[in-house]
Parts: sequence; C-alpha cells; structure tokens
Amino acid sequence: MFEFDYERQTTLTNVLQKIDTSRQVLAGGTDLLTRMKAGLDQPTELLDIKATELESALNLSDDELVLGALCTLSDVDESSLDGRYQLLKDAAGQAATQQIRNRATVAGNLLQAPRCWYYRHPDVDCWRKGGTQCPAREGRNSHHAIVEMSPCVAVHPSDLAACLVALEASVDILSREGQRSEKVADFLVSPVEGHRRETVLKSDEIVTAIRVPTLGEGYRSCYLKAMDRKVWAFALCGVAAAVDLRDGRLHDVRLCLSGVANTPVRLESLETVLRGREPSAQLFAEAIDNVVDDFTPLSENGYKVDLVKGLLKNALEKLTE
Amino acid sequence: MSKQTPEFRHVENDKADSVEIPEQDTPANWKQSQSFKTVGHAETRKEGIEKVTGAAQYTTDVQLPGQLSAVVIRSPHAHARVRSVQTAEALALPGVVQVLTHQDVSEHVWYEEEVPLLADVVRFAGDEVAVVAATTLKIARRAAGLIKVEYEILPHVTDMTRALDASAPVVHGDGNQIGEAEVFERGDAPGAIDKAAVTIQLSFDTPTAIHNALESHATVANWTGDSLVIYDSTQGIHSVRSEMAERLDMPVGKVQVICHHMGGGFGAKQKPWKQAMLAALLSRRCGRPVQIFLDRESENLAAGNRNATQQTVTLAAESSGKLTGIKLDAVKNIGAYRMGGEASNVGGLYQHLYQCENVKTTERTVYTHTGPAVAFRAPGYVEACFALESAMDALAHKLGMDPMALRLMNIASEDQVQGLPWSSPDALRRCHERADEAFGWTGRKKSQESTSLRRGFGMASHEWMAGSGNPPGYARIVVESDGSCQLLLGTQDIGTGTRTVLAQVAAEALGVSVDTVQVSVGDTVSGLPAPISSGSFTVPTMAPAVQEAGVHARQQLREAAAKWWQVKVADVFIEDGVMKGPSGHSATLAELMGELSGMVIQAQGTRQANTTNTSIRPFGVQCAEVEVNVDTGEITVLRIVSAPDCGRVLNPLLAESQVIGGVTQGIGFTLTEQRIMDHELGVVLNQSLEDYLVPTTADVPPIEHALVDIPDLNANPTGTKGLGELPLIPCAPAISNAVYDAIGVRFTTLPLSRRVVLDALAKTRQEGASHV
Ligand SMILES: Cc1cc2nc3c(=O)[nH]c(=O)nc-3n(C[C@H](O)[C@H](O)[C@H](O)COP(=O)(O)OP(=O)(O)OC[C@H]3O[C@@H](n4cnc5c(N)ncnc54)[C@H](O)[C@@H]3O)c2cc1C
Ligand code: SF4
Repeated sequence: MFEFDYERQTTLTNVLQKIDTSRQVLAGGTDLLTRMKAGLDQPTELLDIKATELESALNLSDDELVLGALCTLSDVDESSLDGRYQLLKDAAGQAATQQIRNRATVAGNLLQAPRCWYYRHPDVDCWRKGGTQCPAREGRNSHHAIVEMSPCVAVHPSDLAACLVALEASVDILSREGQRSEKVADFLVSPVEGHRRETVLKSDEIVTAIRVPTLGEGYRSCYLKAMDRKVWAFALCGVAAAVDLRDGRLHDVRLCLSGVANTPVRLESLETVLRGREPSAQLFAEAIDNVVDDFTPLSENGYKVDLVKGLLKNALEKLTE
Repeated sequence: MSKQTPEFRHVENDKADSVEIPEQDTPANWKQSQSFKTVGHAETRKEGIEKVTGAAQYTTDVQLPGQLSAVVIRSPHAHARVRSVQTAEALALPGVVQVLTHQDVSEHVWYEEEVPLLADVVRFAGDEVAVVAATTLKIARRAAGLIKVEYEILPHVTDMTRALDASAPVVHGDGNQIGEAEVFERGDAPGAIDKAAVTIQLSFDTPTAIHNALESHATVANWTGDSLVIYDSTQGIHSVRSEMAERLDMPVGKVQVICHHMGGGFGAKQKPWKQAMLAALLSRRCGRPVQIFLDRESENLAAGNRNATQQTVTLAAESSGKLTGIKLDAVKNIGAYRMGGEASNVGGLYQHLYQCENVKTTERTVYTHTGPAVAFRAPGYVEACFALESAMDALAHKLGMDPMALRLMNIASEDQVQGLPWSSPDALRRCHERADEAFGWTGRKKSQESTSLRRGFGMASHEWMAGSGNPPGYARIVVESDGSCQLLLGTQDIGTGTRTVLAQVAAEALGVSVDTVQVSVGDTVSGLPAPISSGSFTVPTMAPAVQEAGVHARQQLREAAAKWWQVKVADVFIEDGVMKGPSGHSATLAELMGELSGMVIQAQGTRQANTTNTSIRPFGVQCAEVEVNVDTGEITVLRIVSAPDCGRVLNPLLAESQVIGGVTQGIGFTLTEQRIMDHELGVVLNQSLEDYLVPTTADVPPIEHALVDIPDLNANPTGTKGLGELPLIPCAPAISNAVYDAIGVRFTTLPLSRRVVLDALAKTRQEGASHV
C-alpha cells in the first residue's frame, strides 16, 4: 500500500477547511480502507472524524428520527426503536459482522463504493474505475443489477439505503458554503459519464445526519435480505417494506428493493396497487406478478427476479399476518 | 484371534526382544470389550491451553534474529510470456535485500511438469514471477509494487469443457488432456445398462473449492553454515525434509524441519510448496533467515484447490433394487500444473461402495490455465459421493424404495476390486443402523411445513480409500529419571489432536496416567520417520507404534522392579503409574527410576506393513434434515447426523471435533463455496474471503456424531482406522437428497446457491406449465 497521513480531527470546522479529493474523511474505515488496499482510492491524508462534534446518537422525537452521521450499525441494531422502524434494525443487524457493525457508521454505509468483484479486483479494469468497458455485463454477473440504469451494472451494496428510501429519509450535508439537505432517494444516484459515482456528495462536503420522518402508530415494517450464506454477506437482493395496517386495510405501503440496481429501487406502482386494499394472499400474488415486468436481467441473474418476488411475498405476508 | 495381525505380536525391539510378555499384562492387542483407563475417554487437548492463550507458535509467529520478510510477485494474466522484469526501483528502496526472478533461479524447476521455479511463461493468474526480500513485510510489499513485469499475453483457456476442444489454447505440450483416460472395468456395464429393468442417468458438475485453512502456506528458512532449518506449515515434516534436501542437493541429515502447531492443511500442505523453496534460496543468498507467508488472495489462487469435476453417472438395477450396472464418465480440472501423487480419485467410490458385477469408470484429467489442484480432504470421494449418492437417491425414488433400504440391499460384501474380504465386514451396516437410530430415519415425519417452507430428509453412505495406515511409523518412549514419560514421534499434529490421542495410547499401554506423558511431535530432529498426516492415516499408523513402544517400556519397568525387589517379573505389574509386587511391594515410577540411578527406560515401537489378506477401509453414513423456502430459494440445514466408522474411537471428544469440522466443510461445499472465474479474462473473481463464502456458525446446524466404534482388529492391534476425511464425504448428497425430498427438485450442480435453487424451481414450474 502507498503512504498517507492520518490525523484525528476534533472540530468540524477543521475538517471542512481541509477536506477535498485527496484529503478524505475517515469514519469507521470499513469501506475506505478496503478501497485503499485495492488501490481504488489513494488519498494523501485521512481526516478521522470520530472525535469531532458529529453526532453518534440516534434520537426519536415526535416528528422525526435522527441518526447522527457517526451512529454505527450496531447502535441501530441494538436500539430500542419500536416495530415501526423494525426494518432499520433488520437491515443494520443483518449487515456485515458484529465487529464491522461496531465500527461501520450509517453515513459511511450510504457512501460505500460498489462491491462488484470486477471493480474490487486489483488486476481488472472497468468503466466505473475510469476504463471503457464493463466486463460484468457479459461476464459473471450473478450478483449484478436487473434494472438497467447506467453503463455500470453494479448494485448499491447498502442494506440500510433501501430502508431509508422506503422511509423517505433525507441526508443533512455540510460544507464550507453551508448546509443543505437531500432526500436519500436523490442523494444516491446512478454513475454517469462525468460523474462515475453513486452519490451526489461533493468532495468538500460531509454528511452530518440522516433524518427519517416519523411513522404513524399503525405502521410496521421489516427488511428481508437474501444472501448466499446465513450471515456476513452482501445482499443478493433485499426488500424494505413498511405498511400502515389499520382496520384490516393497507392505508399505506412502502416497498423498496436493494441489490437490483445502482441505487435502491422504490416500487411505487406496486405500492399504489396495494394502497387502500385489504391484504390477502391472492392480492399479493397478483400484484407482485404484475409489477416485475420491468426487470432486464443479465446472463446469470435471472433468478433475482424470482427472488425479488419471493421476498416481496414473504415480507407482505409477514407484515400482514 | 489367530489370523489377527501376527506381525504385530513379536516385534523386533532394541531392548526387549527376548522377553516374554505375560498375557495379563499385555495390552498388545486391544480386544473388543477391553476396559480402558484413558483410551476411549474424552481427554481434552494436550495443547489446548497453549493454543487458547496464544502461546502456541505457528510458522507465521517464528521471528528469528535478523529475519527478512519476502513477498511473491504473481502474474495477473492467465497465460503470458514474461518479457522482462525490472527490479532496479525495488532494489533501490531502503530495506530491500534481494530480488529473485526467473534468471536468478533458472536451475530450479517445479511441479511434475518441471517448469522453472519462477516462471518465464505464466500459466495461471497467480503464477509466481519474482520474489523480493526486505527487512520488514511492509517494505517487501512496497517493493513488490515497484517491480515492473512486461508480459506478452498468450491465449488462455480456463474452462474445463473448452479446454478439451481441439482448437483450445494448450497449457503444456500438444493437448490439454493428460495422458490416456483412466479406465477401470469389471464385467460389462454398458451391456447391463442396456438390459436393465430400471436405469438412472444424471450428469453432475462439482465446483472448484478452496481449502482455506485458517493458516496460509508459510515458511521460515534459516541456514547455518551448510545446514538448513525450515519452519514450515506442513502436514509432512519428513516429506518437506527429504524433498528439500533433494532439491537443494544436500544430505537429508543437514535439513531439519519444524512444525509445532499448524492452522490446518486439509491436503494442501503435504509437500514443500514454492514458498518453502523460495525462502530457502533467499535465505542462502542473503545469509539471513527469511519468512514467506501467503496472503489470503495468494493462498486461494496458487496454493491448491479441490478440482472441479463433471461426472455422468448411469445406474442399472433390477426392479427389486439390486444394482446390475454402474458407469461413470468423469472429467477433472487439474489446473495448470500437477503437484504430484495426489490425483483426485473419483472412480474409487463407484468401484467399491456397492455390490455390482458390472462397473466401468472412465476418468479424464484436463489442464486449464488455472491454479493447480491438489488433494483436499477426501479428494475425489467428496465429488464422487455427491454424484453417485444423488443418483442412488434418484434410483430409490424411481423404484419407490426407501433410500436407506436400497443402499442396505446393495452393500458390498467384500472389496470387489482387490477380491479381498473387508477387514471389518459389519462396519457399513452398523453405520446405517447407528445413523438410523440417532437420526430417527425410520419413522421420520415432516413437521412444521407451510406453503413457503418445506422440509425434507436425505441420507448418503460411503467408503474411503485411505484411512488404513501408511507405515512405517516409529515411536519412542522414554521413562525419565523422575518417573515422567516422554513420547517422541516424528509425526506432526496438524490441529487434529494427534498429541492427545497418542498420549492416551502411550499411557494406556504403559499403565500410567495420561497427564504424565509428555509428547514431542513436529520436529524431524527426533530422527523417527513418520508418514504425512494425510489420508486420515496418522492415528492408524502411529497408534500401533506407540502402543508397541508402551508395551515394551512397561515390560522393562517390570523387569527393573522385579530385579530391585528380587521377585519374578511375572509377579510385577503396573497400576495407575504405581509398580506393584507380590508381597505388598509398591513403588511409584519416580521411586523405581531413582533406584536405577540415572538410567532411563527407553523403548521403541514400529508400525509395520498393513495386512494383505483383508481390505482395510473405513465407511460412513450421514443423514440430513433441511428446510427450503420455495419463494426465496433459501436452504436451511436443520440437523446432521454423522455415523463414521473409524474403527476404535480413541477419544470421542476429538472424534466429534473431526465430525463437526468435516461436516462444516461439507456444508460449505454443498451450499456456499465455489471459485468463480471470468473465463474471458482468465482471472479468479472471488479470491478473497469476502466473496468466497466459507460457512459461518450461522450456516451450521447441530451436528450429532453417532458413535460407531467397532474396533477393527484386522487393521492393526489398536483397532483404529482413519476418521478425518470421512464426515465430509457424504455431506453434500445427504443435504441435496434432503432438498429433493423437500421440494422435488434433483440438483446436479453445487453449491446450492439461491441462483441454482431458484433457476431450478423456475425450470420445474415451466415444465409443469408446459405439461398442462
Ligand atoms: C466484510 C464487510 C461486509 C459488509 N457487509 C455489509 C452488508 O451486508 N450490508 C451493508 O449495508 N453494508 C455492509 N458492509 C459495508 C459497511 O456497512 C460499510 O463499509 C460501512 O457502513 C461504512 O461505514 P464506515 O464508517 O466504516 O465508513 P468509512 O469506510 O470510514 O467511509 C466510507 C466512505 O464514506 C466517507 N464518509 C464516511 N463518513 C462520512 C461523513 N460523515 N461525511 C462524508 N463522507 C463520509 C469516507 O470518506 C469514505 O469515502 C460491509 C463491509 C465489510 C467490510
Ligand atoms: S458493473 Fe460497474 S463496477 Fe462492475 S465491472 Fe461493470 S462498470 Fe465496473
């Protein structure tokens, strides 16, 4: 590995003064260090933000749930959030391993780079790394996208992201210029020519918090994750689901998929079909069958279409049983 | 008793050959029902505390004064000619001591193909091109990054089917198939298949699996004058010693190999690997000790794998279920090079497991531009068992028979290849009985099913070609002046608990407590040859030698006490480490040894050749219960019962550890593990443990060891056979057959990933729909 400097930062002001493309923020380091080892990122200096005034707590008030940027996946997993937010606990608790969850922050989780095995391979060039081709398209793509969004078919690796999109959460962003806020759904983007990245965060900006609007009392939720091993694997696909079920009727339905595209994919049409209806196995089966037409699987990942359907069925059954 | 291993009864011994050993004090042939003081007891590991406190020294822990660290530079290409290697920049880095490339070591060759040790032509992505030694690992890694290699890229083939095309790029010589196909034939299998009442034909693919021992391949080499000391993470200190001596053209006596503890080998560490040779050459040039240990990626690219296979299996049977024909056509992907002597024996199981007059197996081995395959815990048998036992399950379902009943009906009554009786003829039947009892196979009932979650039961049986013992093996016991006992052996403890079981055997034979026996293994300085710890051979090879040494030492103790007390030897015995004589005589070993004033008791035992009048093979049966989510393709193994026949169980705790470890690896082979290659680019995509999924504890259900414990006294006087490999062999078919039972889909590909399961379910749905 190359040489770089490391400095523990104590104030955000300092961080904001220094931060740029070569002086990058280090939170838990669980993604950044692996990228550096693979030569994907070569910062000259790491600005450790863990000792700054950035919030690490998780606060639920009447109108919002706020996850501080330094809040870890373990904090979310082990929090006392009620069943409305169960999906966040499911997603955090099923991500990575206990050791990694103890380090991994929620902000870093949204900012992780693709896990595409071509991208992470030290000897393989690809479009996302600045090359011209995407070898995954015609290659070993069983883990890749079934929704065509960009020249890159890597999926967003985060479990939490799908949940945050389903919950219509937003991200607080700070820079020398000041503060702004983006919906997570807009914060995460497909890489395009000229911006081969998965977020709109600029190189001089930091994330300070994630805000989730509170859900009414009738909501319940879950995140179902499919892996090729019981634990410690990135999602092949996942379903973040929340329903507002009162008086035997689905007043609201939120469904968002992970593992199918460059970004989480919200299933708005399916939500619309289900909203206002009485849950039943038949309704779910028909609605799910109708909605999955949009997928464009690659040579090895047609199974993901069935997987998504199965996860949706299991999630809706679970939330309405 | 008469035909049982007479050669073990009167063994030559340097001290005690003329003595007659009275029967009541002669445990030289441990009977079926013998009551033991320590053998068969769940003794905890001798080295347990050392290991859990971190005191145990592994090869990577070795830190000698002045030691250098070396890093290997590997090819990123599957096939290329090395045009040039520029080392100047690396050599200029402070702390870099030596760089070796092809030119520097061109007199040394490697692999059976005798290619240069450092490649001039690379034949897989990961092939070794250069090596750099520096004062620290960090500097060596940086220097490795500064070495510039210019390649001329050549066409490659990494896919085993494509490799057999006439137009495929060749790895060596003029074709990718190695030699002629290996054919075994008895009777007329094709004829029997033509005439059969029922046939099954299925084609299977098994993946390339990686050993992934926790400890990677590692060596520290250190020359003193013209002598070489090698610390190596190895399953065979003697094989490393003799091969290194030969390669370096020096007397064996000048090479010492040490491996006190190791973190697993699973077959990939039976011989010296390149890192041992490179460390030795670097150390000689630099005049300093040199350490090389592979990082995980290198380990998984270049240090062995279980070869992928394709197997087409045809079974023919009468409508009663009696097998009339078995045919196998197999292709094996050996990779780019052969390590030697460890080919995966796929045909063996087909030839031995079932009583059948007509058997034909054809095996072809193919080169590809991929990392070299090497033995991996029951090589060949794990792959074969998945195919054969899945096909047997399909046959049972076709016939409407219980899968266990079909197997019992077809049990081989003898070794049909050698024409010999089994050394333990009831063993396999007993494995079935024990598995049945412990699992509740007969009378099994599915419970707690829903529309999404289906349950199923499956089983499989097997035999294993090794596990009989691989003599010679030698043991020496020394009773020290303070009465403590030393057991000196030239074997190694590769993490299986060899120290502990052999201490138990020594203690039992001597009549002392196991705590008083100190065991020394893992150092060739003992001067006592021992075989490689492979083929589940260590216990059946070493235990009889230890037992014999113990018997002789015990006899010498009795003689010494008899002389001291002026009584007849026949009237002296040992009980719990205390010498007892006829008229209330009693002395601790310390007291007796004190009386001998400075002399010690020394005895040797030798494990001699295996019997040739029986066929010594271990057997096993495994049952699995699974739950399958038909919506998401998720398979959950709920429980496994493993009933392996390893002859006498010396230590049920350690035996259970082998069962748990073997089944865990089996679950990985069945559900999660496979090397994934991009055939176009010729590279491995999941060389790290992030994407090469070994099973976690969450994947592993309760595993029950159904103890079989039938001493095989035809095998050797201790009645032991090997165990290590057995529990892995039948795991994949047991699970896959259970999945079939749950969802009615027969899988012919491993691992059973979500993709494999969901694609198969989709295919079944389509076929179902097109039938309507
Ligand atoms: C073995 C393994 C398994 C994993 N499995 C899963 C899984 O199953 N599911 C899943 O969702 N994730 C998984 N992850 C990813 C893991 O959750 C993320 O790596 C982690 O959340 C990143 O957080 P971090 O604090 O470690 O970020 P870092 O590695 O410190 O940073 C990641 C990136 O974010 C930037 N960054 C961090 N914080 C800020 C901030 N506040 N403002 C601006 N930029 C910032 C950094 O500069 C860097 O570019 C896994 C990771 C590993 C290593
Ligand atoms: S999917 Fe994206 S990251 Fe992966 S190889 Fe293609 S371009 Fe690169």
